[in-house]
Amino acid sequence: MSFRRRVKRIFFQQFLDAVSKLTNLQETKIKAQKENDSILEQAAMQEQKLLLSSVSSNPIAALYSKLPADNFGRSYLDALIFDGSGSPGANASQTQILARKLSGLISKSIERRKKILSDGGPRFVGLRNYFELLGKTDSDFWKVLWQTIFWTATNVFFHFLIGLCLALMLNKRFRGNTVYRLLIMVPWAVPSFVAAFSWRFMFNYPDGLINGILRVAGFNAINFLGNPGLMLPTCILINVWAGVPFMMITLLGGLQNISEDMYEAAKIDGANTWQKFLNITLPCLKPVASIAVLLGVIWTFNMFNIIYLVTLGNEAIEKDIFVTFAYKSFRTHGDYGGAAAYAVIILSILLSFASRYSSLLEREERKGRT
Amino acid sequence: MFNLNSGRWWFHPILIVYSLFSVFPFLWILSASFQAKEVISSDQMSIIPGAITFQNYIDVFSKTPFPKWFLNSILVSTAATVIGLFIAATAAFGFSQFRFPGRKTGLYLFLCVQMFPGAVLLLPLFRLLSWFGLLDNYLGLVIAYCTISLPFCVWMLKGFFDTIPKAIIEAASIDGLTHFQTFYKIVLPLSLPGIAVTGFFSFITAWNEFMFANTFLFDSDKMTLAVGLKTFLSEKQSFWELLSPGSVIVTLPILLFFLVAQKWLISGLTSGAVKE
Repeated sequence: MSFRRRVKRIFFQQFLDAVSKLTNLQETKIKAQKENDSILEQAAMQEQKLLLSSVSSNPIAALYSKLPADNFGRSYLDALIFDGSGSPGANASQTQILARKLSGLISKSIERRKKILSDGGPRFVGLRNYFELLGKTDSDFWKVLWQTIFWTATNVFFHFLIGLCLALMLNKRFRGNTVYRLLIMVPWAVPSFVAAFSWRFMFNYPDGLINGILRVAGFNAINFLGNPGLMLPTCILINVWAGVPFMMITLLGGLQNISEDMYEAAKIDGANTWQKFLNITLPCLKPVASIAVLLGVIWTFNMFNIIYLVTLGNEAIEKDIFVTFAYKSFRTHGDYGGAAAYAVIILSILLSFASRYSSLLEREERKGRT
Repeated sequence: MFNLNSGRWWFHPILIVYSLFSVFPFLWILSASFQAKEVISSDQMSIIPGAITFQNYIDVFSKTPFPKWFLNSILVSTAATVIGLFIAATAAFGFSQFRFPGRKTGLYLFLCVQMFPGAVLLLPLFRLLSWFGLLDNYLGLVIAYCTISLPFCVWMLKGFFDTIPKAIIEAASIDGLTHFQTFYKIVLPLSLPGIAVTGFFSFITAWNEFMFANTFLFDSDKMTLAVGLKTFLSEKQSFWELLSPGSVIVTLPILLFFLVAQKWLISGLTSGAVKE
């Protein structure tokens, strides 16, 4: 075989490979469009673009795309491609249609490139994405912000309150102490997605466990997870369940580090239990407690698995907390700019919280020293 | 057990109720996994199974890609842990043993990065992985997991390395060990328990992760457990008879390990991270 024919054959093979890959991608894209999954769609499109840009340097494809459909040369080429040895054989006419599509795509991609070049590609829009989030009256931003704050504050409050009570009890010596501690730690060890599934199972409508209990008690079944008003409290219950063990363990560690001498000294001075708690336990617990609360706030603010998986499939609930909202706006609406603006807002809230918090702690410490 | 004289008898009812609350959701799904499909999806189910069947377990292994997902999860989590630990250990060694300009800033940066919500990183990571052609690829997911677990690992390991007495390191350098030799001949063996604890937590992070896995993988054969099990839930129908044995298999090994090693894990967590 002459060198030129060999090169030609290689180009043919590449061209046909590209055609079959493009078909697969096209199928994926259509499937993704049907399922409203914009990420997959975007990925398929990007993959297609890459392929097209690589194939557009293929001389066969370039030649092919330039020929008008009724050109003799083109029909000759068609015949060459689909009867030649490089053909995938079976479905010649389908491949032909695809090849036509490909040529169309190539010319389109060239046009798009030109347009992008003249347009400047992804453009700098200043603060427009932020204005769209914050400024529009129908924007969900403020509602989501309020729900996020409510979610975080309630969760951390209950984590701390329940965790502290349990830690105070378990810090005393009595029989069964270790067993209780192990049992209470179980939610920490259960993966959060499994936790979401099992709670979802219990809250299942209409015949989950909790609705069964309600029915026995003479109430009507309630769709806890499908009702926008009940969804957030339900998720808070689940997240409190999941978050208490960590808080309890951390606080228990802090309590065990407080030296017994102080309590004895207080006892000699005639302090009662409440005074001991207020003047010894709480101040000594403060360093550990503040770190635990800071971590709790960050983790709760970012809690994704529980909210997303518990409410998954309930179309009624579009607006939940920041993290899931940003994710949904990215994933189902393909809104890169909006999601990025959300991301920056989330980050700045967390950073400002953390820095305010740490400076507060430092000031407290200085006050304590002087 | 109920020693009325101690004045603490009222602890027991509270703790019993709370322990039940803690354990119940898992017990419920454990019990569901042993009951027939018809029973689970009706309101006839009770916590103590009337008739035990292993059909759900057989189904989830033979009729669904669950075994594949399980292997995927193990592969991805292990790779993320090993790669992440290696990078984090070397970084933590540097931060712990050397004083250099930018050290404090670097440590604070790690702390800030740890606060980054996954949703913030999702978008840039997606773009980056798509540039490098790593979407729908385990390597891409492993890299993504390393970025989220790295800050935590660096801080934990730095805490452990700090507890190694300075004198040992100095002795090593007098004996003519290079920095890297000091690292893997002295520092690593001495802080092996700490590395194990850090590795366990980083493994759990990857094992539990859902958002990245759901975004960066497209192929249903490549899914990890969290994403795969989610496919048993849909708007119209939920396959609890498949979801419950799946959840139990995912949870049991971790739960047992947690309960057995809890003392060790907790002391590791507090001596490493919280002390600093």
